Amino acid sequence: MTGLRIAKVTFVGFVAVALQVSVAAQLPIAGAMVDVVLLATIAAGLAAGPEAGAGVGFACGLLIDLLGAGPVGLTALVYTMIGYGVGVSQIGVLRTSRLIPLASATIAALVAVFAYAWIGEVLGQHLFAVAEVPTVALVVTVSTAVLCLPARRVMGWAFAEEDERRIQGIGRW
Amino acid sequence: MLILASLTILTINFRSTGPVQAVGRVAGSVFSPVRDAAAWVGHPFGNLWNSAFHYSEVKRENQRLHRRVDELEARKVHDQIDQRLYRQLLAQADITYLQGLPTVAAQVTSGPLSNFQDSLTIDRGSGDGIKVGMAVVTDQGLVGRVAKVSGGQAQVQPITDPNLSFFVKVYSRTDKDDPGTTGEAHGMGTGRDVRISDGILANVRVTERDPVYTSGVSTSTYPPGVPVGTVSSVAPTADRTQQRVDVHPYVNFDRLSIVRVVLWEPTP
Repeated sequence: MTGLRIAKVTFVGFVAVALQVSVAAQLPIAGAMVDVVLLATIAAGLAAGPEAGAGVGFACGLLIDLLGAGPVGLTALVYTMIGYGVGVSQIGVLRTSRLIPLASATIAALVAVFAYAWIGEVLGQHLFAVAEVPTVALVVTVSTAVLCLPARRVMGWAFAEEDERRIQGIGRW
Repeated sequence: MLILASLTILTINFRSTGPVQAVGRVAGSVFSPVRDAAAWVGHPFGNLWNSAFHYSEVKRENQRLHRRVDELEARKVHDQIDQRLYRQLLAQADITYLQGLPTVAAQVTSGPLSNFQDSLTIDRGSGDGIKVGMAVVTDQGLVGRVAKVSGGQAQVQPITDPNLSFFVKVYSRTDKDDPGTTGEAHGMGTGRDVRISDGILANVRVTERDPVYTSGVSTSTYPPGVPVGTVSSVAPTADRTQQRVDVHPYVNFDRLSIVRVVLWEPTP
């Protein structure tokens, strides 16, 4: 990974966390909020594969954990698995259809919400009581489905190598 | 490898060892200006959003406030002296329940950061003498406890959080000599009551609207006598040896703006 690529990915991850803690936290829908960090994780998995998805999920999840009051490492753990899973789901895909990443993102968001709540319960966190899990699942799943394609473009830009982009540019000429 | 790293961090965190908390403090301090700036930009959008999606609630609130203003205007005209006395008594009352304990005023800057957190962020931190475990109150009563502190801000765990339990005393509304009954309360989630599920025996008389205060038992992290709420319902537990008492908090968590952190720690 080149320095520029690292810088771009770091910047996008940082913006995702900033949006989560400032904007998303102030715009609740039926008591639940859009999960920008999960969106970034899924988008990274869709755009750049399992390692990228896991890396973004781990780093952004850990930052959210450190900023919040919950157990440190829980978001990092769940989002690492989700990012990796989304990336793996795209490996065997040969067709270029928008429906495939859309379906992958929707399923991943739904799994992420229930996995988070369930792992939290296992760790004694009573997360099913803290939040209305079905409402959270609905809001997170719908918002992720709506925003995953634009987010994938942003992550595609962040993970793109300069050489590849130049070659693509030459190809267009 | 990242999954292993996450599990390691979780393990270290649950053992409450220093490094994770220290890193959390540093992250909070470093990210604080970015967050404040982003929150400053996002705040008008938040207000617009809330106005758009809670229009009927805002309308009802507006009508309620109009009625309240009319009521106060009328009272002002007819009974100015009594009103002044009432305000003075009210002001004294909200001081007396803290019994002169030092406090730090703080502004609530944001609510939970993600869907599975029930926390508030305040704009005061370790530099103001705030430590983990200190009680957070308003003039209405107990808000919660400080869960995490960094340089210029702190995370507050509200009493509605199911992961927070604390000791309370239920007093009889009618019997002035009632020494109170101690029980252990815990939250039941955002917007819900607090439940006392342990300590109130079946033969103890508890009725609706009985006041509930922090107990001040030796293991409690809160000073004694802080108002918590009033009893909203009473029911026997499954084994019928105790009572399950739900308490409606005095504090309205949707409208928190200014809170006070009580600079008090229990004596070991």
